[in-house]
Amino acid sequence: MKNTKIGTIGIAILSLSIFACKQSVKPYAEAPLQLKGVDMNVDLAKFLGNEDLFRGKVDMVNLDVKENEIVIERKDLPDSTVYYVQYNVNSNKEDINLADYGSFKFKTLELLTDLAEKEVFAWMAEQEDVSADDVNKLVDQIALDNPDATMNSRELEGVSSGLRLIWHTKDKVFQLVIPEIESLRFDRSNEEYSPSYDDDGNPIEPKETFSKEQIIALFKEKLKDSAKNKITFFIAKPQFDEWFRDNSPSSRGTMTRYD
Amino acid sequence: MRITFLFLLFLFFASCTGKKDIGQFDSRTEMLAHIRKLSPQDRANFFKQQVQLIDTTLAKVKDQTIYFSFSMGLSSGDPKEVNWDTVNWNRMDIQNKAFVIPNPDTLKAAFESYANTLKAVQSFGIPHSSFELDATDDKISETGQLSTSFKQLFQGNKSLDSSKVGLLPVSQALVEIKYQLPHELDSLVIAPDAKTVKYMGYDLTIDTISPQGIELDLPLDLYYNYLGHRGKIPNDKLVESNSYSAMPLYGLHPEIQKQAKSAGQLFQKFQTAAVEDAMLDRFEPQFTEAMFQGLKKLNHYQSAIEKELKVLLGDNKNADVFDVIKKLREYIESNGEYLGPVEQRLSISFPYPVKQFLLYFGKSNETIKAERRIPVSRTASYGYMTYLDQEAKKYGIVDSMGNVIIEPRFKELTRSSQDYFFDSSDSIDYFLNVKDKKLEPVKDGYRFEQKLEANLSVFKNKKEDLGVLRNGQEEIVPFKYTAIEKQGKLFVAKYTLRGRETFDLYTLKGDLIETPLLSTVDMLADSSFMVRSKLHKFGVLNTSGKLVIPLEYDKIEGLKTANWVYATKGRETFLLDYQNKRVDLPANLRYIDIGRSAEGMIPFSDYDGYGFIDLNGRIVIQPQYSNITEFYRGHALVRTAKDELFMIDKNNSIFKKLVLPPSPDGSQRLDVAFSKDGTGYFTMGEIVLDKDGNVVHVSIDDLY
Repeated sequence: MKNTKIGTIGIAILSLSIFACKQSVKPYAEAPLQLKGVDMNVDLAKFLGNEDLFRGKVDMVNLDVKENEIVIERKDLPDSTVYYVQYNVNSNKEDINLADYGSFKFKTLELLTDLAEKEVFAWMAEQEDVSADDVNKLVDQIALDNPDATMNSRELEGVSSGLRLIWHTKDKVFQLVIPEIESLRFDRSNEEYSPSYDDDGNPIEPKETFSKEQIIALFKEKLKDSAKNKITFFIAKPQFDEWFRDNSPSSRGTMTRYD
Repeated sequence: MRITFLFLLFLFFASCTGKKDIGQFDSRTEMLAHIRKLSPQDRANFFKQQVQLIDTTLAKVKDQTIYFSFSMGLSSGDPKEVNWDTVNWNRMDIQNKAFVIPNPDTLKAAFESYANTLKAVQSFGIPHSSFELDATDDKISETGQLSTSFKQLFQGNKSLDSSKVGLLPVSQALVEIKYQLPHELDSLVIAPDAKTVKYMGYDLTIDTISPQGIELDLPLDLYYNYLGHRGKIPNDKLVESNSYSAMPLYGLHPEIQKQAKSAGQLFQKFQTAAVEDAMLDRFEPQFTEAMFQGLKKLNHYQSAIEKELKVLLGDNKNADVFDVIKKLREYIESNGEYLGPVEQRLSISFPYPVKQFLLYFGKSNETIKAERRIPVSRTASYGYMTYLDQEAKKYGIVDSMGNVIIEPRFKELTRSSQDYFFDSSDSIDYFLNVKDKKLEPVKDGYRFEQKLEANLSVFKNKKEDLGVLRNGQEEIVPFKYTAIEKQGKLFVAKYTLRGRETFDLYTLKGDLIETPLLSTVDMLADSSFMVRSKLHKFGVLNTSGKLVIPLEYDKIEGLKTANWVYATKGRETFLLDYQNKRVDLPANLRYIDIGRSAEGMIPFSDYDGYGFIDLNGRIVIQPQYSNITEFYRGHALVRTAKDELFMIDKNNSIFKKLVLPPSPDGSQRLDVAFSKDGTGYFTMGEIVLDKDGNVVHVSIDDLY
């Protein structure tokens, strides 16, 4: 009899904790999505469960849904196609933010999912008129939250879609883009020459000569005179980042700033 | 006490002067009896009062008109203001556009054409049906005055008594058409600074005027002879207007005005110091029933219509303008005996300032006449339709022969479809139960949308979701869809799930067919369905909704061949039947023309031209033709390298050699196209051939 009571209490505590975990992501438009530590396998049926959103019956947001595809071109293998759904959503009201990263607020939130709507390939959030100080605070917060993330200076320079920072972690790729400012340029005059391919013809990853702190400092320097900035923030699965970066996706809009 | 006194005084006054208002008499007889009871002096006072009342009222209503104006403009994008005073008109490239009266012979020919294409549409009504005239070729009505009168109605060859037509279906009508065509022009010249205009005895009202435009009201008699206008610019050249509209001004009905005026003149004629009995004896027969009715209506107009119009026009300053117009139009239509067109307002503007506005009117008119026996049809070409009881102002329903199915007791009934009717007065849809002769309101809160078949129709609920009801009552398909269609033997119902189009399929009995979530449903030529899952995998459902090809293919295309499709999986393509038997096509074919596959014959091409493969994957017609069509009823149209045309069968035997003239459009394109009834035709450019290769007189425009 005593054991049964303990078991009941144990089950209750366990179910409460599960319930608490599931409640951490509230359905879309009922509360801003917290992008810090966001779950890429969020229950989309619940997150996007308010059908009124999709039928134009919720005044405060616009929502557009499109099915797109990425044709994956692979050497010596047949091409294959990855289909995905792009949910393009934004708030109509100035005082409503649809996503946060920590305390930083984004008015627009988009996402890409698989066709089965089981996993999120990428989250995209956007905000306009952000001061350089606030951008810097967001950059510092992302860096602080992902101490083990790596950065690659070569993928940040010479890209046409604007000034950016990219952090690679084991399960996520964070990318912050300011499309109206030109991308970073690194002084590589002191770098030693290294071949691009090994003897077997395989590409050699060039050695990174800039630290994360140097890259971020250069970013902040580039930004310092810009008072109002439009920023786009992506959190993608590494696999999707690879597909999207190397191939030609059919999506439009915000994803054109993914580079 | 004082209050009581005043009250009594009021009653006394009312009794002395009471019934002086004609509106208070129920009949002409009652009015005349009342006058006869009065003393000769009181009769004279009564007559005097009527004269004053009629004159005052008619003068007052003269300026009370309503018209509906709506204008839209497009900016030329050139905001430059032109200083016309400094313009050298002779240096501007402005062509003289004199107004020319149309040639009488041309007008006569147009009149003949109008008369020969005239037809009538009967709207059932009791005690009288109404008829609306329409001519296919109507180029005449803009010039001169056209009038048509019915002389005789017919049912087959049987003449009908026009006063007793009511709900009898009329098949033909003998009509007399009169046309007053102008031979000469008369012009009215108005200067841009004119304040008043007199023309043909009328004082015309200028509403607005400036050097570049005029708004002028023409009495209807004058408007009937109006032909057109020009503007004279400072160098005396005539220019055309760049904007013109003519719209009726509604006011107190002209017939009421006419009768009231006649009555007023009569009262005036007999108005003396005392109206003795002998004078009254002469007055009574001259005071007609029409005059009495005219005065009654004038009274009603003043006491009710005028006030209601003021409310409609000024009730809510924030009201939507279109809503106000709609309500006004409805009000005018429903009070047609009190309100009618009294004048026509012309609005004319010119691209340049003019020194004269020239309005042209026809004179020396010639009247020509024609009699025609014209066809008469009904408002609905089949089935049941509404009819109006003109006295009760209620609608009922009759069948195409005019037999009453539903008695007239509905206020604003219109036909939505064969079985459904809508009463806009209470916004209720009704189902017509012909068997029991009942008009049954559909399920409460639902609106009829579209008939699907027999007694099944799509409805919309209050949440704007669509579903299917049987006879407007029993739910067959639940209300959760944005579109519902009947395709073959199934209902295909669309909704969005998280923003993505999703389809459910139902049998015609309303049973939901269990399938994975579908994002595409397309009916194939054999009435089965090519479907695509949410995961982008294709399969086929047969006509009853059974999945006969599983949802595992990357692409499926129809072959216009029963039980077969063309499927793609990964890098492989093959023929597939509904038992999932796979047939591979010969390797290394340059091009397979799935779009022109039909009847088990799949075209392909290589460097020698087009040939055909059968459903066993064998080449049955070697590549040899420069152009081909799909097979239809066992034949295909082919062109050889030597530019010869043949109709061949599936064994490549020549069924017929064809020698065709060049197509009018110069095209040599071979094709198969279908008429609305599903009959197929071979085509070469605009030349149409039947299945055996005979040229037929079917327009390519009627095929798809």
